[in-house]
Amino acid sequence: MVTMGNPEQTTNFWNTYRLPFPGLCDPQQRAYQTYSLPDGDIRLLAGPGILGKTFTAFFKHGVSKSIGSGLQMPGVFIIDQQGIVRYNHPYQSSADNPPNSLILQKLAAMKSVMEQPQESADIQEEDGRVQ
Amino acid sequence: MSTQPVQPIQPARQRPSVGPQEGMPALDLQLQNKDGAKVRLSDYWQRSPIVLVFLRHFG
Repeated sequence: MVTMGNPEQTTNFWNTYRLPFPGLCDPQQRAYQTYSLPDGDIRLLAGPGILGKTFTAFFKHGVSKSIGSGLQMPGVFIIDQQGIVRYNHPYQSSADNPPNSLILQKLAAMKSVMEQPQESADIQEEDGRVQ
Repeated sequence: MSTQPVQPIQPARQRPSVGPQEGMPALDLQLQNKDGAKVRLSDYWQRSPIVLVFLRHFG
């Protein structure tokens, strides 16, 4: 997970939410830029349909200062072990979170493909012995 | 001493509207982790598939 914070800010965030995965820091947003994640405008960040989620987040987590650019749009990518992008989701609004079920489905599909060549190779080997 | 001007970071609204697409190679980058150590994204994806999340957060 990449944040716009420095190591101290990122560590504070990780400790607050007890996040179990690696935290990377990009205070100058170069990685965000490299992955072509744009800045949003007021319509994408707090427009109709988003305000409800924004208020819910404020009530749940409290009001605090934005880390990094408040305009920066988020994004989610799935990358396989060969370094190939298997899923990309640049947010269309600040509340455009992809469902966890979709992410898990994509990962399961990748696992299935990773296992397939070995099964296929086993079948071919077996066929070879029969012939 | 070099007189070459430093290239400014491209303003957000001039960036391409789409990032790396499905089936394309991911862009490898070196970043600091939260402990201050330098790491590459490929350090993670070479171990197992990764979900790379670019966060917008408050805190």
